[in-house]
Amino acid sequence: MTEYGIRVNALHFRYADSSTAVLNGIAMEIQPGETVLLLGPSGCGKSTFALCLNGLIPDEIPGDFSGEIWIGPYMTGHTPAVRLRQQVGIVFQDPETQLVMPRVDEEVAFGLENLAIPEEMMRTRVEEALSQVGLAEKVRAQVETLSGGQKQRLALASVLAMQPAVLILDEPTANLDPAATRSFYRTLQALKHTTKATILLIEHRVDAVLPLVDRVVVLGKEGRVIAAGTPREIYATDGTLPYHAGIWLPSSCHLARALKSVGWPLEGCPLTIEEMEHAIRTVQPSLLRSEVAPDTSSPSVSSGFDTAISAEGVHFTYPDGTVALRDVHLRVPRGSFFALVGANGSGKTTLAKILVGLLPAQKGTITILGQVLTPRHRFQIARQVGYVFQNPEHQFITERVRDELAYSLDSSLDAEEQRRRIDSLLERFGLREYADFNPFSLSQGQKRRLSIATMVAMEQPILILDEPTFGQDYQSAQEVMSVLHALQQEGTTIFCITHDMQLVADYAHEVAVMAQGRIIFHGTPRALFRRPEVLSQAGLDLPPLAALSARLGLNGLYTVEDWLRWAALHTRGRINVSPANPQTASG
Amino acid sequence: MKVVSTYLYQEWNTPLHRLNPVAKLLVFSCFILTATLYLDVAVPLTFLIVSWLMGWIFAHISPLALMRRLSPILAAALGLAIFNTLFYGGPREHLLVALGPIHIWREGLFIGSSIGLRILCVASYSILYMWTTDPSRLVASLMQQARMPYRLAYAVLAAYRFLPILQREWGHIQAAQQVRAAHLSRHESGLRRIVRSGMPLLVSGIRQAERLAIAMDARAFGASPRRTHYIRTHMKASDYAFTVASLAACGLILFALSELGLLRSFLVGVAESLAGAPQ
Repeated sequence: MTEYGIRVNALHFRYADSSTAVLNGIAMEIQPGETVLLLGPSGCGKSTFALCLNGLIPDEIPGDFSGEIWIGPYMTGHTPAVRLRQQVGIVFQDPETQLVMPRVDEEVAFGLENLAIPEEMMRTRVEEALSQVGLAEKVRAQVETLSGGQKQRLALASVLAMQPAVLILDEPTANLDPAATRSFYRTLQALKHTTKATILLIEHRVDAVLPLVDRVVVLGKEGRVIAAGTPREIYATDGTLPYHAGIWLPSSCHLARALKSVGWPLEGCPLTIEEMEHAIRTVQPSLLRSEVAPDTSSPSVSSGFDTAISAEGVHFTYPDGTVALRDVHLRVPRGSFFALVGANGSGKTTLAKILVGLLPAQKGTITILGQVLTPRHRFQIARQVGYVFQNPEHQFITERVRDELAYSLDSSLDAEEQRRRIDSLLERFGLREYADFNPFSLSQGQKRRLSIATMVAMEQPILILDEPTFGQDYQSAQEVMSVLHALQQEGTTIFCITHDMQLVADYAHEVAVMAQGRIIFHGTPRALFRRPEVLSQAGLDLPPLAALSARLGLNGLYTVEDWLRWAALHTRGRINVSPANPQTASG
Repeated sequence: MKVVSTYLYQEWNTPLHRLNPVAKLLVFSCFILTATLYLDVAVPLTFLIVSWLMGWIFAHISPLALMRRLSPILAAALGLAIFNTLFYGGPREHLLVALGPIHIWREGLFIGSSIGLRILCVASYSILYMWTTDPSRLVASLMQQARMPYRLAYAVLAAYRFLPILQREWGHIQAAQQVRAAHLSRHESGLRRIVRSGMPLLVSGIRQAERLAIAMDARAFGASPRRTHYIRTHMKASDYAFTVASLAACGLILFALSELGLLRSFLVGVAESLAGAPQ
């Protein structure tokens, strides 16, 4: 295979149906064989850029295109389409809408047929590509029987079989759970050694991918490159630059920023948990030898509070025979922030749908705020429990943001009161300037906030959310979480389905873990992080900071706040160490 | 929302499965066309029974299993049959039942059952076809035997792919809106709900179709006029034999029915109802 780099010059693009340009003068150069991570807030044109690289823009997608893109010796727009598509392969985000054929081997062959590869050669290439991604034994399986993670690896195999010089991965793990994400990147890591392809990786979350990449390019909101360099250069000086661009930092970077702000003499910005461990050991060896503040939090579930939701012995089997829930028992305290975690397909969403009356419990009892849920109460229960779906678009009914909110309000309110409430909701969810926009035209983060706002408008005491931070850039994820936190402070019970373990560490009071349709753990996040066997059974990871704390032999430092408290305690401890005050010294 | 099965297709190895998809399409279309062109009871009934026999003998699908798959359509067919029987307005001669305001005429019963049977007949062959035909082989043989342009052939496959996607989206949208509309009107009419869900379904359907199209183009679909085939389909001697035999059987059935005086042409039927004249 030939090795080609990428050269981009003054690239501008505006979609035909839009008045503003997405890409505004992008220039970059990627060396042959390099692996580059492309970062940027959502809506900054990363996916559009990917489509420019393989020539679909300007070949197939109409718009205003100017500038130059060179893939090795080929200039897009002036190279036969078949050559360009073969040289530049893209794996997209959604497994459902990039697979074409019903069977695994046919899927891989689809691209080869388009390239008019001779029949005999196709079979070898199909088998090779499938074994490269670990799907060799699935060669004749139906695509629909694969898991989400397997589908993404199949999409990767389908592109690899075409033997591209440039491989683009556009948020390939956004729809996957932590275990499938890990396995996808393990596959990619192995591939880096066997293929010589130049790899461009587009991702929001950087923790898992930084060890894989040689260089990082950051796109700004205006569709221009605002920074490029090695990961270390990009995150030097505390990662201030990406932080202000609204993109995710590695967790170690967040912690380093915080510790530096209280005066720790850390050098640069550690990119991984391993580096952070090393940095702490170098800077504060004495602290590690000192007694660690004991984890005083109660490991058990709070029992003194009222119950918002309770499930007893709930079973559910889908018509195709898939058993989704087996004897589920769960109690959610009123006013708490409750997290439900587990791998994809473990039954989380099924349970949530039963709790809001969208599916019937086939056995067992659901009680919502003291009232037993029966099919007859289905509609009344919806007044008690709001449900925010994973895909916000499914919830939109009207063609204006303002109308969306009005739809949720009690129609018996007078017009003045309605307007007042809508305005205050728009303000609170940062949507004031968008009141007259079509909901479908908002950015991902805005759509998510609107979908939560439509539920909050109904003022139910319980709010269930399915993956509220899914696919969001750092800034919008933070905004969503601060809204949820504020709601919980005001007394709303928040029930949150998530894969994001740092979110659990930062916000949840209690957490339940599901695996194969059963609740295998229920307790505080702190208690969960002390049970690695539970996490691995459910295919979950420790949140990065908890992993760091475990590596250093410090128990119970799971959030940035924990670390700061611990740091403060020890700084004070050292200052106060004197024979006159022995008690403080031991703290 | 779970999708029970993406494709109706069942991967078995029976004679009907092995048949060339285009040959099978030709024969089935011919049967469906014949059965629907006659405003008659005997023809659709005979071809319905033929579909059962074919499924049973050549694909090991019992008529009962076939009809179970058809159950939603069965209900619709029955409803239409009853409606057309009760509200028959054409020429009438023989009163069968008179119960107060309800009059059932023999002519009405004849038209009603004919309509019901024709719907069943079309559905039965369609289900049998989808059940026994690998969509990939269908596309391959559309290109290789029927010489269909490959873009068109792949549109057939895209339709196959999209049914379950739309079905799942519809479920999501219905659920999401049930949650939102709960406090408003619990007795909202089904029609209004369908209209209200239509917009998001359309938006998301178009977006998903665009994504799929982009993903296909990105893998060089349509980039070159020439294409090779991973799946080869052929017209074998058995395919020719089946086609010829089936078409002959079709003619034979019509001949036999007309000899028995059971055949009334579609065109004759239309002419009669237009003229409004009793026979």
